[in-house]
Amino acid sequence: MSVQFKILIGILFTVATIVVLVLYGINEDNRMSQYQKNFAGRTIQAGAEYYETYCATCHGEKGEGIVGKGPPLNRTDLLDLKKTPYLKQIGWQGTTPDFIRNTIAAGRPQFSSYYAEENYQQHMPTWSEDFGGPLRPDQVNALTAFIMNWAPGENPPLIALVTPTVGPTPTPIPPEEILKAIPFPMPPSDQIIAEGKDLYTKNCQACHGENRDGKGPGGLGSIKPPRDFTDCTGMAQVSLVLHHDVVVNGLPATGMPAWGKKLSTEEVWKVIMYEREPCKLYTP
Amino acid sequence: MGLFNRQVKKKTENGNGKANGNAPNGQDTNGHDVPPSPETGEGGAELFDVKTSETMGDRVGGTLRDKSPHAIKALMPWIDKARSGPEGRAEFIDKTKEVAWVQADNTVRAISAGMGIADTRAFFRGDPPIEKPNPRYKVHVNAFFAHLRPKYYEKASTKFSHTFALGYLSIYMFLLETITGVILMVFYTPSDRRAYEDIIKIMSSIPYGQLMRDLHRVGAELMVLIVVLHMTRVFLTGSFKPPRSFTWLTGVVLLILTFALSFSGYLLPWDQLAYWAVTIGTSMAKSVPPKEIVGYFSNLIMRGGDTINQNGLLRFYLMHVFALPAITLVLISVHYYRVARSHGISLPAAEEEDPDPAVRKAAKERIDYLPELFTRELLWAAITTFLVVVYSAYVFHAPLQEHSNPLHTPLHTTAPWYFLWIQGLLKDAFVLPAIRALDQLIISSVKYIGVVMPPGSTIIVPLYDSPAWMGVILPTMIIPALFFGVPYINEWWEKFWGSKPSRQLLKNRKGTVVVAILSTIFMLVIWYQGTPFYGVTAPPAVEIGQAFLPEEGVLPPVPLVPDDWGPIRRLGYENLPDGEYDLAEYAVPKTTYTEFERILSAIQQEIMRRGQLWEEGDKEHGLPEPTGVFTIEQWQQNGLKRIELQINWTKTTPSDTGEFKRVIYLQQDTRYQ
Repeated sequence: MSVQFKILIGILFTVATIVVLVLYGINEDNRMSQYQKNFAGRTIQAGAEYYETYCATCHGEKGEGIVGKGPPLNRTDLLDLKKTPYLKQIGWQGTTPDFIRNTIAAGRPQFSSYYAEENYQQHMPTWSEDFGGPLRPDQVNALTAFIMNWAPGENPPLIALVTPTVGPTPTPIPPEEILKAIPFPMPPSDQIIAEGKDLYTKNCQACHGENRDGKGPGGLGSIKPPRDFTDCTGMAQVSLVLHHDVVVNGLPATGMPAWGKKLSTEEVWKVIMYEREPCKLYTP
Repeated sequence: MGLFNRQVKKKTENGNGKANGNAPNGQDTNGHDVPPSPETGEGGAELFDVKTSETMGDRVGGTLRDKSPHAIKALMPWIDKARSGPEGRAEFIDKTKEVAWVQADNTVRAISAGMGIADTRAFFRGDPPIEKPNPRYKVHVNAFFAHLRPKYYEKASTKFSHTFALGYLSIYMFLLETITGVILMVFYTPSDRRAYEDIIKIMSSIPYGQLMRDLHRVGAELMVLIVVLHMTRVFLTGSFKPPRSFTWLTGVVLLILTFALSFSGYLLPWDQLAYWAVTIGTSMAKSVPPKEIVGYFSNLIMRGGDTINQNGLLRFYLMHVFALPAITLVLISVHYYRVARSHGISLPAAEEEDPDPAVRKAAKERIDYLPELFTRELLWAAITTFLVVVYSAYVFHAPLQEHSNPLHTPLHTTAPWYFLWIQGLLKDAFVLPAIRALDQLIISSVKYIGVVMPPGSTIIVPLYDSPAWMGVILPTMIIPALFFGVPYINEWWEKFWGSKPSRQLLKNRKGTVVVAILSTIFMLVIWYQGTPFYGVTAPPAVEIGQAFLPEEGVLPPVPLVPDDWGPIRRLGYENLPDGEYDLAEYAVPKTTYTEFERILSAIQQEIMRRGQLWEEGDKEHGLPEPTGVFTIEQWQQNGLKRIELQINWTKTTPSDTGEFKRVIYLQQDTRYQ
């Protein structure tokens, strides 16, 4: 190949590269705004997942609220940016997303006066790791994006906004019923313990620690440290029924999620048996 | 062109005159180049002889004359002549052209670091050099970057089919990575809170940001690929043999550095893919024996804690942008210096060892770097740049998954493709079963001498530390120990058998061919074992969910192929009609199906296959009487759908849950194509 030919081909390829770069550049604005929308969408998707894990137990699957547990979030008076009587009433000067983000991150130290007639079991806990909760800032942002996505937008609403309704308080299941539901003979066999260990490693170990001593990395910095299952005096206070209740419904003020939605009844009991194994507290 | 030709013609007229006259002056006795300089009176001596211009000097006065530019000074005597009549004017014009030529020539000599106009022209035309000695060699003396390169190569060593330009392309990739990397560095903060956000910023708000990231990723994968191929080529052509043994050794270090560079960059996007791939990669460090001391501390030093966190991210970042590139640059310099100054690129073995001296002589014929090989390299750079840019702009986009979550391990997490072979080793498919079998053999044989072991007892297995052997000791033996040793083992081997050292692969190195084929097969097998296709036992229903609704984008175990988020996400929000679909109705595929219905049918086929497997007795991969329900629900009025795949089957054991659910959410603006 002669030198001139090489130079010619080289120049052609260089020009071609420049043409490709220019063509790519022409579309850049379009691509960037596409990507921004794409990422906003992915944030909402992630928020939906976190909402299902952490929030739905008190605020309802679709933000409709649960009587006695949490107020509805899917409401025009909170989310409609044009008329937000709620924020006006409590004197919030910032934007709605800011309000939601702050509330999720730092919790509510006192009950809202807006739902004064409601009697909630507990305060909104702090969720951000900045305030001792379990969530990272990006998770709080994702939750905010998900909740704000209920706000009436350009599209006509497909689900009517839910207004809070006061219904009957659910009757608690008697303890005997709960204990009857244990799906395997007591005390548990080694097989059950081993299966419980697998579930524990997957779901609980991050906070409760590999050795079941409550010293997992996920639980560091929580207001209330995760339960130490090897502490037998402490565990003696925890009955089987209470243990079951905490695993199924969670302890919202502490970062302990409600596992009832994720694990089946059998799986819950297996995990409980593995957790009670260090102290052998199998009797009710 | 006419002007140019005239100038050249002028030059030849002038002589052997100017051009050749300059050359002897152009170099001092040591061969160092001294550009022809008007100031010292060298070069165009008679042109710049200002002392003869007495008349002009009287007229304009001493000060002005001294301060005039050199070319004007040189012309001053002829200005007076020009006033005397037409002949004087013609002489003045000729003189002006001559002076201008010399000035221009000197300027070009200064810029090109040694070549005049005529030689520069010949350079670009591919003509032989005009002046003597060859002014192109002056460039190697005068210019730093040219001095790094050899003046000439031996002709046979520059054949494309001999080297495939792989060494050059490695350096090209290193340069590409440096340039794109520095641009990315401007927008990136190595903090666990900001890293992911910054990547999103690069992708969504920086013009050409995504292209830079894609180029950096494509370059990284190509660099690993090319370096490995380069090494394979050197092995096959026997170029590691003396006198190139030490060069091979530095090359092995560079191979390890390439892996380390690529791997340390893997963590920086701080998404799930990055986090878990690096967690797996670094988990090997924990097993370095003795575990309690070396394993513990190497893990602590690498990760900056028990798990990867802010400390680990900063460490990986500093390794990636500072420590490793610096070491690599030094090693590249040593490696290249030896190739360029010490022994050159090896000749093709067949030509070097040819009994015919004429062939050997032809192979060693010199081919100059300037301009033949220089333009060849530029051509390579232009073609590669074009291909890499087109590939990154239109085919491949660097994967980005969800934000890293230390509390959730995605299913089928794998190391990067070039470390899959270590992951395959860690699954320990050969040694552990062998040791187990040996254990059984011992236990069953000691029965005959009256020793009865309790069932399930082990003898040798507890002594065998699988992660340490498979994750640390064996890879260390394969990469540094064995690869470092290749030239020295080879030398010893040749001495042992008394064979004549030869580099001809198929003729005199048949053993090498066998070793190469066997080790390639071995590497491919353990690489395959590292992929999720081998020996990973997720429950069958989970596998169905993973195939159609994966938790994260699935990265194929080969380089340069984009990740895949499954058919449902690819289909997109608009094409997913709300409803609850009983999958049993889609058992028989119909031609009238829409794209969505075809996917439902594919899910049902897979569910039925699992049912079939169970009936055939495969309890591990099969499901008893499985049924599936696929639900799509409008979850929020502003474009969010909840997609659920539920699979039910008959419970066979009390611990069996009998159901599996996989839920994903899909927003209308997200794109997964």
